[in-house]
Amino acid sequence: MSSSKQASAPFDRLVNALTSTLSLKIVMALTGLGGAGFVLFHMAGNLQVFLGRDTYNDYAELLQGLGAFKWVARAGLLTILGLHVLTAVVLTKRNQQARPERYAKLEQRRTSLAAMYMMELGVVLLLFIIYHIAHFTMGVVHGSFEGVDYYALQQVTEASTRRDLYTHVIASFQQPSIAITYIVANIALAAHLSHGVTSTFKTAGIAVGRWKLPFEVLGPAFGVIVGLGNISMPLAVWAGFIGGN
Amino acid sequence: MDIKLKIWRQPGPDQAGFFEDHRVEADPHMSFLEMLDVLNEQLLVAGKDPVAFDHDCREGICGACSMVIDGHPHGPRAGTTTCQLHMREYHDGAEITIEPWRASAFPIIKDLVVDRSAFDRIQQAGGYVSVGTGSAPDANTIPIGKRELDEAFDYAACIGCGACVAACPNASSMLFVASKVAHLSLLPQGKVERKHRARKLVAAMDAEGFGSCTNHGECSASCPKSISVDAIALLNREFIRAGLARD
Repeated sequence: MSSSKQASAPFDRLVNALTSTLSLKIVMALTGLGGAGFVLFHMAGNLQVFLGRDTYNDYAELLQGLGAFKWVARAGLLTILGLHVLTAVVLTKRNQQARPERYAKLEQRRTSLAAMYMMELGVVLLLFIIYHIAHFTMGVVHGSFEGVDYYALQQVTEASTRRDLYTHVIASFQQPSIAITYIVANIALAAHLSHGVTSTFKTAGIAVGRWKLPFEVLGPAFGVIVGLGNISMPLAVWAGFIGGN
Repeated sequence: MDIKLKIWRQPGPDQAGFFEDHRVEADPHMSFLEMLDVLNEQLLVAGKDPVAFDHDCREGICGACSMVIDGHPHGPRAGTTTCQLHMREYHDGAEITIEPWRASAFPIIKDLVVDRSAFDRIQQAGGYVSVGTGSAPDANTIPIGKRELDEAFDYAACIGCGACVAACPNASSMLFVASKVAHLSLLPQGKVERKHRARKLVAAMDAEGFGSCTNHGECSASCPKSISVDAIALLNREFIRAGLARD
């Protein structure tokens, strides 16, 4: 190919590569995968609430003590979230423009409810993430109940103070409205993951042929595991299994 | 059999459309299009404008017939074009809603007829092989594996009807584009343009204003040739390959 059009088009190619629908889908997939990896790690870490106050607070302290690495991780997660949301907005807008006039009736044959409402589930999750960070990370919302500030530093030993996040978690989930919020958000998370994780591997061109079925099972399985793992915590507090007197 | 129809009427591309009710006395042996022919004869006799709809071969291979019947492109039967749908699928007194394909890339020309030349432009962007074909070569001069051949043939079955776009909640043409890419990239004749094909076809698809795939699988479920949604994953793979390839 000696045509000058191709030779002079590296910039066009770059622009095309960055704005193409498929490139944006790859961004969705990669950032989604990053998010999925994080929620799995996040769930595994927090399940230590079942191991008691000290283990849980030690873990929290370990994460808080990571220093610069903590901020790198936070910046990375924020970037992943930002790209995921931005790309979703662009793609959703394109999809809506692709069918400006709706059908009087269009029936679905194969898709799932989770797939149909990915965007709505995403909005629910975004709102939940904001609340969740304000609640457990920053302690600005629901940090205290009945005059007790659970987010404040506690004198644990004579030498040191630390936050008793374990008790904050227990006290929070003992409030029915907070527990229900977390349970509902995690059902949304499970649904979002069940379609998203499978989709990731289809977008990557991996879930084909003999690999199709394993990846179609992986998404829902991943969603159910993360969802149930997270929901088990408010349920356990509610049932008095942990944090009971 | 007495059939009640609710049909989309639209006098022209920029005019407002609306649903119109009609009744037709149909025979169970009629094809769906023959039933519409009967309706149009009634309309002509009454001095009214007949319903415009696309059709050509009427044997399920050309991909011209295109209408959404009761919320399903090509009607309720899987793997069937509208022309191969027969009135025996319906019971006496059935009410049927008929709409055109709805996508901004498929503008309505009149009633149920949409302009699908966007597919032609996508095809021209890279859905071809540039090897000299000449006359039919001798059998087995180019060795092709049985599996690759079968797979390529499955994807080559695409008749370009646009049902995938019509069925997709995002009006995406990914299954159409993917069928071309999967079909041609699996065969040795298609290797010449392999590095550029996916990129060019996807760019053409975007330029036409089709939506993006969100892996619902509705396209494949409505495809009259039952083309597997695996094609789309293969397209993604080819696109990534093409992106990583050097010119």
